[in-house]
Amino acid sequence: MKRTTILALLGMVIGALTISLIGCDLSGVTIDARIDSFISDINYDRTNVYLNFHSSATSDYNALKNESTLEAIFPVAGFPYSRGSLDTSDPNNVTTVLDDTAAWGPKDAIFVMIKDGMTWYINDLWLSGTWVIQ
Amino acid sequence: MKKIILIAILLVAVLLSGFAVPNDVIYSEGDAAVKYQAGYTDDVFIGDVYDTGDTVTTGFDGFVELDQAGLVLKINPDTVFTLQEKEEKGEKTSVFSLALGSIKFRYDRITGKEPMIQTASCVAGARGTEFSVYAGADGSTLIVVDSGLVEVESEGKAVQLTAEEGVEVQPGEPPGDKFVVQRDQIDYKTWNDDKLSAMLADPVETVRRIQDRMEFYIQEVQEYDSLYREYLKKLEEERRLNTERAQKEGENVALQYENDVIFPLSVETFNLGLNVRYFSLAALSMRRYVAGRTYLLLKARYIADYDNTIFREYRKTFGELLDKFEEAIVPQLVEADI
Repeated sequence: MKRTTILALLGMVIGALTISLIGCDLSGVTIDARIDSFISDINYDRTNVYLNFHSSATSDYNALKNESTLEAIFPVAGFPYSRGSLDTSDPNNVTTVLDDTAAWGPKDAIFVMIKDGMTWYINDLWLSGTWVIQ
Repeated sequence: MKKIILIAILLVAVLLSGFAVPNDVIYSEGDAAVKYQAGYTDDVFIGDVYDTGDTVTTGFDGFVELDQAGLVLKINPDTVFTLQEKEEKGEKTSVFSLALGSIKFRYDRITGKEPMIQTASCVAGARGTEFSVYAGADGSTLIVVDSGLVEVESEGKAVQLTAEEGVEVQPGEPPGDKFVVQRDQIDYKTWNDDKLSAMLADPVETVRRIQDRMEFYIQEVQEYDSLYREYLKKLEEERRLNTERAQKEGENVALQYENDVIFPLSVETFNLGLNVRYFSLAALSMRRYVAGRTYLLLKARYIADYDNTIFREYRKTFGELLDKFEEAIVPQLVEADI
């Protein structure tokens, strides 16, 4: 195989790898993905729940770092938590229904989202008409 | 040990509907940095938006101006200022926390909400339009009003200041006698230099005052933490009973009880946890910016006379303060706080 052909193929492979590696950063995190990440962390890794919120916009950001604080709002006994369909037509009013396997839900939920660059974060969370996380 | 009780009587809502409103940076110059809640730092830029948990630190030539609906806040050089939040009577209230340096408020009574300001030695509630707050290196506070009305409270006693009046508060003590001061008469550096001189002249008394204030924070953390754990236990019991209720009386009945009783209790419990964090971070700020800095100054002063009687006594008390901080406050902190 000619040297130029090999170099061209190598260049294409490197290019493809680069695009795939930076693909996530370019596309950011969508609203759906963010909310699903939040629910997944509630279920499987509560130390990371706060990372789904915006570090500057969410006033309770620091409080959320403390796992035990979350127990008050999302008891572990309700594992696993799930959601219904999302209405993302208005990022300031993303609605769904959250549920658990105990007697906690279902609860109407409103996620107020905020975009930072290409990534969506949760700003506030309302549950059953109460402003729970702000 | 003196038991310190500080009752914040002016629980006014800082912001619309009692929730935090972002603060926009409308001007910045010199050495000015922001440490975000997440723990990372950056330079301050015009257009930045800061919120609860963010700390602005200015160097010797730094100056930052923040705008919040109805309120303009000027952060002067050599200042450490944090936007915090506290839960009072079921509502969240924003608190401007000044650990060191000086700030000046201009507050629009028509459109703005009355802020609550906390320093190492006092809490002030402002129904005023323009006033300055100075936090000294020794933990003392000086409040000077240009116009309007400010109430300053410490150790259960309050002083009301009107235009061209000022008051100084030492940590662990009630407000001093108020005095007349003309607009812009106070030079922070001169005032703080006087505080530093007084601190160096009697370091033992200084550290005892700081210790008194730290004990107040520790007491608040312990009381709120105790209450928080009590509520959490109650919450867990209610949930356990509700699970049984679901099995015996049906899910609809249990869900109704969850919505009517358990969920409001869970929100209250969560807010108590927030208060634990508030006082823990206030204690950290005190340890870092007041106690820590005085120790460094004194250590440098006594570097050639380490066994000096006064410095030995100071070190002993400072050590006790650190021990109590480590025992009571550090368990409440997370890595990103440090």
